[in-house]
Amino acid sequence: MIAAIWRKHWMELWKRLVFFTAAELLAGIASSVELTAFHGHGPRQAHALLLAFLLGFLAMFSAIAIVVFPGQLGGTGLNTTRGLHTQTGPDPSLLFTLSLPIRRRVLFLYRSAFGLLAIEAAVAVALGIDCLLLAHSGVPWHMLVPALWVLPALAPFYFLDSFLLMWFSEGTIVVIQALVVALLIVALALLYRVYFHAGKMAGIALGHFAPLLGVLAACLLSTAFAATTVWCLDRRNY
Amino acid sequence: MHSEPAVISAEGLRKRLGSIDAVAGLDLAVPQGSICGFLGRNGAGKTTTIKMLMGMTRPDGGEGRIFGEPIDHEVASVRIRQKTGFVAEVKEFYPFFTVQQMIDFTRAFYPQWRNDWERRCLREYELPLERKAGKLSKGMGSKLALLLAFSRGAELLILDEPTDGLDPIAIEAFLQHVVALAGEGQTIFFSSHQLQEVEQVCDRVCLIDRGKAVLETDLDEAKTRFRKVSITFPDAVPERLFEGTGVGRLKVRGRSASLLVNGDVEAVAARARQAGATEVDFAPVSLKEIFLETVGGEQ
Amino acid sequence: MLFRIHPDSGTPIYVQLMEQVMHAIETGALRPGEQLPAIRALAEDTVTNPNTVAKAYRELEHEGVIELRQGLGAYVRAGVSSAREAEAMKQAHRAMGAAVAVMRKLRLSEASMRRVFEAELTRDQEVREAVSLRR
Repeated sequence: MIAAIWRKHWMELWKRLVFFTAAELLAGIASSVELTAFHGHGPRQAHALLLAFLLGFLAMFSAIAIVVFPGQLGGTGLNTTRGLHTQTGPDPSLLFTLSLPIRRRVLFLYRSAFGLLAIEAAVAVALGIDCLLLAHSGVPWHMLVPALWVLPALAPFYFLDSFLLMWFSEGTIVVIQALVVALLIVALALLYRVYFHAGKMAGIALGHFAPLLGVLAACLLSTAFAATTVWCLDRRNY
Repeated sequence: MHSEPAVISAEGLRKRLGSIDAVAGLDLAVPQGSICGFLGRNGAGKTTTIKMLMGMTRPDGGEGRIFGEPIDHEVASVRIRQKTGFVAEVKEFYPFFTVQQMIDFTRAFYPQWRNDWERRCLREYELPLERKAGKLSKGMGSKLALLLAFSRGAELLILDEPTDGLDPIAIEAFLQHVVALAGEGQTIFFSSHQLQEVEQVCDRVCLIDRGKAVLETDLDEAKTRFRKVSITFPDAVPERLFEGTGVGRLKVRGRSASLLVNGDVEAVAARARQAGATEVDFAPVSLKEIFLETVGGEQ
Repeated sequence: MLFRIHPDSGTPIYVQLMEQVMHAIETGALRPGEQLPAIRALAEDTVTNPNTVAKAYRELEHEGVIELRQGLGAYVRAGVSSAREAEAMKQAHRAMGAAVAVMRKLRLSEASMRRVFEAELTRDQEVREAVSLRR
């Protein structure tokens, strides 16, 4: 049974994952080319460029995630209200899926676990290649550590979507998520500016301290979103 | 008539969709081993009822049980679905799976999977194993849905318009399969607009209108109880005399009138004679006439 | 034997099945002691509900036309006469039904109907006795 579900998810998602990885790669390559062109202009410029690289990567990632996540979670029976009460919901095979002897929350957990793992893998591959490219052109690799933020940052986004999908249509979620991403980018930029002007601590803070905090926050956030989703799934009036 | 325990039972089942009461206090009892036809007009609440039975949507009120387990309890509903074959109103499957992959996928959920039924359906429905489920025609989709329902080794089949899009030969095969499965002891509950197929294989019917069961009975009993009474009067038909006596409307043609009566035919006849009727005739009726008068009578 | 079912007629299917079994016995298509098709087989053959076939068999047994042997199937009763009698009783009921309908049209009370029936029975008896006396 579990094997069958994994197989279904793989068949369903691999095309989207290929598209996702390719897009991330393109984004990464574009920003790394930019970054290497300005390398050697002093630490100030390098930091600014790294910020540009990260923000560019994050923006690109967000744009794709906004489109990919809701689509990925569509078949789990999260947003069944519309799907069940109209002839053609977002996923017409939903009625078949829900007729199987399996709980909604189990469907959701398998689906999100698979989807998240697959996306993390895709981003990791894209990031890895980008880092190799940058390292090859002489940028010190520890400067790229902040880029790893992106990996844990994916999870809260993912489960925020799963939660939102129970209440809103995919179109609405795209708008909500775009707003969240915009806010996040502004916050990051501000944070970076504050740290940067605060002194030489900036590099250390971004390179070592912040990621740990970020990972912790991401884990907490995604667990909270996932748990809320499961809780609501069991109690919702479909 | 049926002494067998009810496999499906519902009392006062309700579901509100937006501003309409899709199901408004439905009572239902489907006895073990019966083939029960679930009839009603479009939008009468058939599909919503079926979705509630399958645990896909939650009732707003009332109680429903299948195999004695509550339908609105998440864990109990999984146990119900383990023993229930299902055909949805929308016969769509995972478009990226072939028919064969779709069968393999479904089989993985049912340890009691019936290979014999899988083979029988494959043979008689002539399903293309290598075709992608997303490229099946409407009829083929219905056939795959039936295969996946029949092969589950279920004790109960809940089928929502299973013959939708099927050609006459496939419909005949479907009816044979239903009869054979009932012979094995399975209970079958299916909604349909094809009154003739219901009349052929069902021993029970449930007529639903505006979210309520308006008639729930053994089909044989309905055919015995319902009579079309034709009455001829010497003068004008005293229409008010028959208010409240029949099912649906009194049809008047000149000095003759006809009325569908459920049960006490003699009382109607006596009343007619008292009013001076010259001729009173009774005729048996088909399910279609019962349906039209019961469900379409108030317009 | 071949069964022909008309689902959309007003006659319940089990009654159609019963009538056809009785007809088969009368025409000799089914002989006393012969086995009827198994319920499931007949149901699949005629594409009718197995419960309906079972009901027809139960009613036929009740009327003394067939015999249901546990686990062995249904057999036509040895005394076919009982089958004939059953059919005769049915025809008699029909004839009486028609007669009652006619009397109702004549607006006779139930008491008068009974008197008419008794009188007819007595008259018939007297005629028969007269005939035998003449011989």
